[in-house]
Order: sequence, then structure tokens, then C-alpha cells
Amino acid sequence: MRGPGRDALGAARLPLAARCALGAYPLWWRERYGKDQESFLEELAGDHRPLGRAVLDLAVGSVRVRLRPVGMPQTAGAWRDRARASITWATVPALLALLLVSAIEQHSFGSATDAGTGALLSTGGRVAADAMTSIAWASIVMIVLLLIGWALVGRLAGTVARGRVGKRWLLLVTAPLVCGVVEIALSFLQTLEGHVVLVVGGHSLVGIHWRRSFYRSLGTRSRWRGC
Amino acid sequence: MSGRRLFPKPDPSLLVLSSLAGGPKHGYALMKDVEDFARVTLGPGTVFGCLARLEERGLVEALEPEDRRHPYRLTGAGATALEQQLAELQRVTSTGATRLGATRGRLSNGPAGAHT
Repeated sequence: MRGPGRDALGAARLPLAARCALGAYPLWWRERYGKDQESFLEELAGDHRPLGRAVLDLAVGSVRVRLRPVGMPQTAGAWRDRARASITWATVPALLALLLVSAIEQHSFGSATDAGTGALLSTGGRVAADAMTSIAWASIVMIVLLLIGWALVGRLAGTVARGRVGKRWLLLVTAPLVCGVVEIALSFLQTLEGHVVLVVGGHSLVGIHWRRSFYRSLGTRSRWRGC
Repeated sequence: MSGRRLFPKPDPSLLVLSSLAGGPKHGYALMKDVEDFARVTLGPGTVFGCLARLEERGLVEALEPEDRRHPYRLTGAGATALEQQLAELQRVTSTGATRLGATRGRLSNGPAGAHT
């Protein structure tokens, strides 16, 4: 027979990677299968078998469960958590990447003129500057969409709790995400050339313009024209 | 001979149902059983993902937990689904085995037979 503090003790004995993989599952899953999975890993370790593949399998499984929540209880809390996780994963990584790109490129292309010489940029240079501006706007719009989505899931939770679940609430929750993806896609289409960094976060795919050397070459050419 | 498998591994759901046909088991016992009879190692993410899917369809059910672990058992619907799936596989394997036997017979008759 095992003692009362055994659960916490068992989890603490597992390596950090295994605990992280277990923690990557949604809350409703952990409540239902968490102890079973933890016990599985302990028995695996007890048989002196390597945990690496099992941990990898858990990590893949957690992504699968988040994308396709089979067996998720149809409760307000579970839906709210899922929607909020989706909003976060679809928005925050893209936001961080956008801010990073903006920070890197700001020195070279803050305006239509070259910051160092004051020479006018060529058409390509202005396109690049516009792209940077659109990225900055995208960041602002994404923050707004994030907040809207976050607020709407609260309304959804209230509706589910009152037993008045409607598809329109689900649409309202997903609409900001769809708008965010479309908006970023449009801003990406404004850029004519360059490389693409794909940020896959949750359910979204966002393209970001990224090639500093390309902009530099445009800037150099424009300086020649300016002189 | 190539190191890659020519055929994909058997479907985990089929392996889990086949294992539970032998009696209720918890996750780790199920994995070991599958390893014994199918020589396929299922990880915890696969095992419990599979059990969740099968549980949702009513093909397996969880029993009262024993020492933190839920044993799972096959339901009536699960037994029927497994029976149908195995019957389909049986048709394929028996047809394949019969035809393979005939082909081997032709091949052993000589090189000429191989081209006919």
C-alpha cells in the first residue's frame, strides 16, 4: 500500500523532461489520465528502460490532444481553457517574432530616407520601409485581437454555464484568430521579395519578411541614385 | 535488404483492443502485452491517446482505479468491432498466404516457371 504523499513523490522522482511532457497536456486531460501516465513512466523507469522515447511520445501526444481534444468534457471551463490556449499559441509567438524583426530592421528603414545620409530611398527601399511599417501595425492589431479573443472566451464560458451554447459563440471566439492570420498574410503579401520565416503557433501559420541584406542592397542602390 | 519497414506498423487501436481482449489491463501492462505479442512498443502518449479515442467511442471502459492506475476493459461494442476488424484481416492474410503458397510452388519448379 502506498502512502498519502506518494503522488507528489512519484512525480518528483521523474526527470524534468518527463514532468514537462506530462505538464504539456491540457488540464482536463491531466485530471483524467495524468496519474495513469505518470504511473506508466514510473514503471518504465522501474524496469530500467530508457525514458527518452516515452517522453518524446508524450510530447507528440500532447500536441495531438491539443489539436484534437478527444474525450474533452463539454464544460465551460474546458472550452475556455482550450480557446485561451489556442489564442495564446496562435498570437504570442507571432507577436514576439514580429517585434524582434521590427527591432532588428528599425535602424536601417525607419523612414523613406536613409537615416545616415538623408538620401531618398528607391522604390524598392520604400517598399521595404512600408513592409516594416505594416509589421508594426500588425503587432498592434494582433494585440487588439488577442485581447478581444481573450474577452470573448469569458463570454463563451458564461453562455455554456447557462446552458445556452450556440455556434455563434464559437465563431466569435475563432473570428479574431482568423482575422489575425488573414491580416498577417496580407501584410506579408505587401513585401515583394525576401525570405520567409514561418512561425507555427497553435493553429496558425504566419509569414514574416526577413532579409536584412536585401534591404541593405536596396539602401545602397538608393544612395547611389541620390548622389 | 533495406532497414526501412516495407509495411507500416499495425494500427495501435487494433493492438490495444487485441490486448484488452485477453482481460482488463492498465496502461503499462497493456504496453508490455502488445510488445510481447506484436513486437511493437507503444509509448504512453500513444497508449492513452488510443484509450481515450476508444473510450469515447464506447469500445473500452475504465474500471475503478487501482493504486492510481485505471485498468481498462473491452466493452461489448469493442468486442464486436475487434471481431469485424480481425475477420477482414483474416480474409487478407488467408488469401495472401494461399496465393503465396501457389507462387512458391511455381518458383520452385525452376527458373522457367518464374517468368510465366
